[in-house]
Amino acid sequence: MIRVTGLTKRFDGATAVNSLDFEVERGEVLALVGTSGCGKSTTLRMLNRLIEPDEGRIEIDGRDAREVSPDALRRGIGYVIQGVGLFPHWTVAQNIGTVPRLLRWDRGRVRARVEELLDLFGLEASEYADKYPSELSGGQQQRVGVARAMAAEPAMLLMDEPFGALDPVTRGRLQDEFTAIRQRRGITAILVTHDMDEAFRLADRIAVMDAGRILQIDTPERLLRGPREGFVRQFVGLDDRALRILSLHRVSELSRPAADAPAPAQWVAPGDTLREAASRLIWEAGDSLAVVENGRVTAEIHAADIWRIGARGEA
Amino acid sequence: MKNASRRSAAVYALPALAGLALLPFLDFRANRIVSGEGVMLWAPEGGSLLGAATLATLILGTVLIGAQLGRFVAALAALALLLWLAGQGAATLSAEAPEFARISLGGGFWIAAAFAALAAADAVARLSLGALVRIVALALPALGFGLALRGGLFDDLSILREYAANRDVFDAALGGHMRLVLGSLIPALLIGLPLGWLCFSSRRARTVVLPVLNLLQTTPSIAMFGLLMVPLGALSRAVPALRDWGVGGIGAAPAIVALALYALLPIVANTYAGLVGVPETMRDAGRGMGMSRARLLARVELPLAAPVILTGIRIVVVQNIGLAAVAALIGGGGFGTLVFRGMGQAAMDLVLLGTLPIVALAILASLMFDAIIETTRRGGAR
Repeated sequence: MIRVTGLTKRFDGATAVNSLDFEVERGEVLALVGTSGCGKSTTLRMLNRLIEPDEGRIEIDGRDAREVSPDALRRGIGYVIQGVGLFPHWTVAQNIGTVPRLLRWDRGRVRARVEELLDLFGLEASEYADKYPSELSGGQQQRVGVARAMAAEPAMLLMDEPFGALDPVTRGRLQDEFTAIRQRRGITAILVTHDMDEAFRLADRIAVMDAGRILQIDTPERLLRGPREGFVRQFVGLDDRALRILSLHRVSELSRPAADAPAPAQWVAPGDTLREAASRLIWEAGDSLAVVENGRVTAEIHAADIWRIGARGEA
Repeated sequence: MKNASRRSAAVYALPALAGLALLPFLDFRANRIVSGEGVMLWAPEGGSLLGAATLATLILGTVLIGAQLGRFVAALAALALLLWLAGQGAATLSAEAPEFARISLGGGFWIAAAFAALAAADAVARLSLGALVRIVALALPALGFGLALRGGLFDDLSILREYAANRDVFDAALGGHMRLVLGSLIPALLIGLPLGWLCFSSRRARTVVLPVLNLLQTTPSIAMFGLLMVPLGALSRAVPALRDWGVGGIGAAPAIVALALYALLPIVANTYAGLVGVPETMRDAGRGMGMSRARLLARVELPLAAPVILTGIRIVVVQNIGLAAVAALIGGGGFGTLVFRGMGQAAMDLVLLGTLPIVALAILASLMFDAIIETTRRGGAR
């Protein structure tokens, strides 16, 4: 668990980060969002002491971060930097093995861990381990970047715009992969992004920052239903909040029993979001939709139920 | 593309042919000092008509052949034939001449040889071979030349007569030249690399060091030797023990110091530029993962800066191989000894005997560094 209290940083008299307090539970992903210069990257870099805070306290699993040497602290925290930052003169395996080697793991253990991580990220070890970063696509480089951060099984990951440099399709695929890996491995992470959609997709809680302060910190749904006046409301965006709320829920949450039948022309899967279901319903001008698994109807979903979720009210 | 390479081949072939047509191939002199008479390529004791025709065909071949490999082979063959004809011609001429007669290479030979070498180098460059293959492609003809030299093909040429007469001076000059170049390179590296790093990490150091080194670089080399004579002379008088090490106002010591000073700017400037060129994200990644500053420098910054730093060292080595010739003026030894002695005696062959090894060493050094630089770039290039 990470607990931050009163974290403050000033540059040349200007306050970049102003007395932040927040906590991140084990297995939780917190997103820091805001415009450029709001202090989100500075906050992230204070957590691994790449920037030393002026005031405040950072506790990681109950231990004050200042008690540990910066290098030792950083070896225990995974760091995914903006623009991937793989070492171009090292192979994929050497890149992923960076922190384990700093921790003096023996050769065999490093190799095994590299192969395990490549496998986790869907990269065939025999094909990719000895390649250089320049031989990989942007998406593969980004996967290796995240794998490198996870290599020494750190207590948490710090991710600075991890998928920022990718095209929308690749970014979407990597976000899904990240979510899947989280569910299998349980990742604690603090993620910095200026992309609200990325925050909604990846984070359990979102902290909206402006001018060095956290204006609101909440779950995505509560942030959408009850954004504070002013910057938060503007940044979160109210125009399509009903649809955004729907995209936070899955079809399986609202499934009602239905008779077994072959799949009709229009249907949804249990894992699809309510937003996708709503889009199909509007297209079909219908009030219900079949939920299909393995080519057979297993349940159905009603338009009225979906609209209720998207309507105003408490989450 | 094909036309462009054909045009450039013509640019080498035409001067080569013109040089052979207009200037003497060999120069015959009754003794070492008098001016000689020219022997044209097609003369019976020059290259003979058959030799001249074959040579012209090969030179035209570098233009007419389409494949670069064929061009390279034709240019090399032309070069080999040039050398062989020169050796044979010299043998023929000296057989009928008095003992003191000198047969030297004429303007036609030099122009044709230079342009044939350029044509070969151009064809190799267009083949875009790896550095190591390129070295082998040039080492094989060099080996052939060396064997011909050993076998006595050129023994009747005046330059080898000079070599035979000055063999011990030549060998001493070779050793002295290497000592000057390596002796200045090692201290320059020991000082220059840390100084380059200092310029990179401290703005204040940069604003002092780089202008001072720029000033040093613009000092004429003879002036530099003169300026160094005073402090080094004083030093050896004050500390006589240093004299046993060869430190003094004249000799190798001031030459090595001067060459090391000239070497500093390229080494420092390229070390600085190489480190500045390492992207900030690399440092951020390394530090963020818990690398110490020293490890970051050794494992990330220096390897990524290596091609630029090595380019600086290559500049220094090639530059100092040339500059070391001037060291002979203050008794520093090296091939300059032969050059200045030849100038004093108005014996151009002795000047050449000093100059050609300098050129050969410089080419060798730059080829070697190109190969090293290319291997450090592997995987590093994005």
